[in-house]
Amino acid sequence: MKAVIMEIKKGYCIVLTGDGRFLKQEIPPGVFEIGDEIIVNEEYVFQTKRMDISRVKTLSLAASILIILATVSFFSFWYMKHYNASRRAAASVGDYAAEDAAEADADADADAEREIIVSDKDYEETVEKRSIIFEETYYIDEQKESEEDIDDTLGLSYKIINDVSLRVKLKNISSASKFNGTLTIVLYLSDNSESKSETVSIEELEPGQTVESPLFLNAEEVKLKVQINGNAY
Amino acid sequence: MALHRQTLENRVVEVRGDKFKTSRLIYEFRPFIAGVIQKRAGRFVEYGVDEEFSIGLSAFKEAMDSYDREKGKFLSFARMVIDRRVIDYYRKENKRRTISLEDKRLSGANFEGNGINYREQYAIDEDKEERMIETLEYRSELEKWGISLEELAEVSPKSSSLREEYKNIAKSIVDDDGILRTLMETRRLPLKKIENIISVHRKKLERGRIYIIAMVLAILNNLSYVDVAGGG
Repeated sequence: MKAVIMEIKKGYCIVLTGDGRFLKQEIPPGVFEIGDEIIVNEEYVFQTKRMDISRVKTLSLAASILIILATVSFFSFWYMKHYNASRRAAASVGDYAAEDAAEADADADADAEREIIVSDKDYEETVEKRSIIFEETYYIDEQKESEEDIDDTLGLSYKIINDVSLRVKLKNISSASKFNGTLTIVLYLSDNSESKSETVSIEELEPGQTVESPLFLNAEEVKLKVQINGNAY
Repeated sequence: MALHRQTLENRVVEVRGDKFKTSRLIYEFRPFIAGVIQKRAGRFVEYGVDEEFSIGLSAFKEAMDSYDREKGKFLSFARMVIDRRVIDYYRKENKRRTISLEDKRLSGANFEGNGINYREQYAIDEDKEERMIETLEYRSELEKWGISLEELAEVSPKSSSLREEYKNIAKSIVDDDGILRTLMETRRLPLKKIENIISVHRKKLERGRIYIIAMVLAILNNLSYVDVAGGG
């Protein structure tokens, strides 16, 4: 089929055939010029490289899924980090407030700052297993009731009921950490000799759960020592 | 309503002294200039990339300025001038060692001198020259409509029956003064008017819009090498 060269490009030309078809045709360089009449052959029709549409679709789908997964993972991680941190920070702020309530109430900005510091620190700590060792002695005649958070995970309270009974309570105050360990209570007489002791083994104390250890008091017992050993994770 | 075509020789003489028209003519004949250089260089020459191309543009301008009708067809003359200037360039730059200085075509020495029978040396088949001018003018017309040949190669129907149908539509448009006037003025196919004279689906018209316009322009430009009148 005869055709006239309309335009010459690198490696090919565009021709117009006698029956009105515009075609791209491969030609050698520097041989033909515009207006030359050539015989076109379907075999030498210039084919521009095209990507396989189905392949493009598959790649696009895979890329979309990856982007969605990455986005969801990122926001989940971010949410968990801030959620946990804020819970613990709230507890810590309460702790600080107990020490110096007036200061905490007066300076909201300071609290916020403290919250940020605590939350970062706490977050790092919750990532791995954390050892908790606590020992404190309380004089029974000084205070009949006591409550304190011994760290971010555990809260300790004891109460003397009718001067005859002692109830020691350990509570997991964290939002996500568990606690494994032991709670040992030792009662002392006025001469500092040990009157009696009790050890409670604690396994997987879940957030919000409590362990209680009731003990009967003797009149001579004046001192109470609480020991906690274990791990939060 | 066919477009009136002025001879190239007349145009060359008339545009002298008018910078805008001269530039327009040179621009229109860029493919011709490139073709001459490519034949000499034996490779593809790109606008704005190869230095030979600017040599060719200057040579074409030189040919326009020095042409007179006694020298015969302008394109033959311009071809010779471009070819000589490119050879001079290669000689000077010593870039093309493969050019034989014994080339008979180069032995004429001064082509501007009186004794040179350049018509014999660079005789082009008149038909070919006619085709070349037609092609360049047609391309120029397509360009005014924002239609590229690359685009036409993409949208040109493969089916011969569909091509014939589109060519018949183009012919009907040219035959109808009202539709043709609207097309030329608005540069849009008046689909509704065409539907009134030809039984054709609007979608088909829309899909073949570019090709139909190209065929209308081919008819108006009297493109001799295409059978636009239909019938195969």
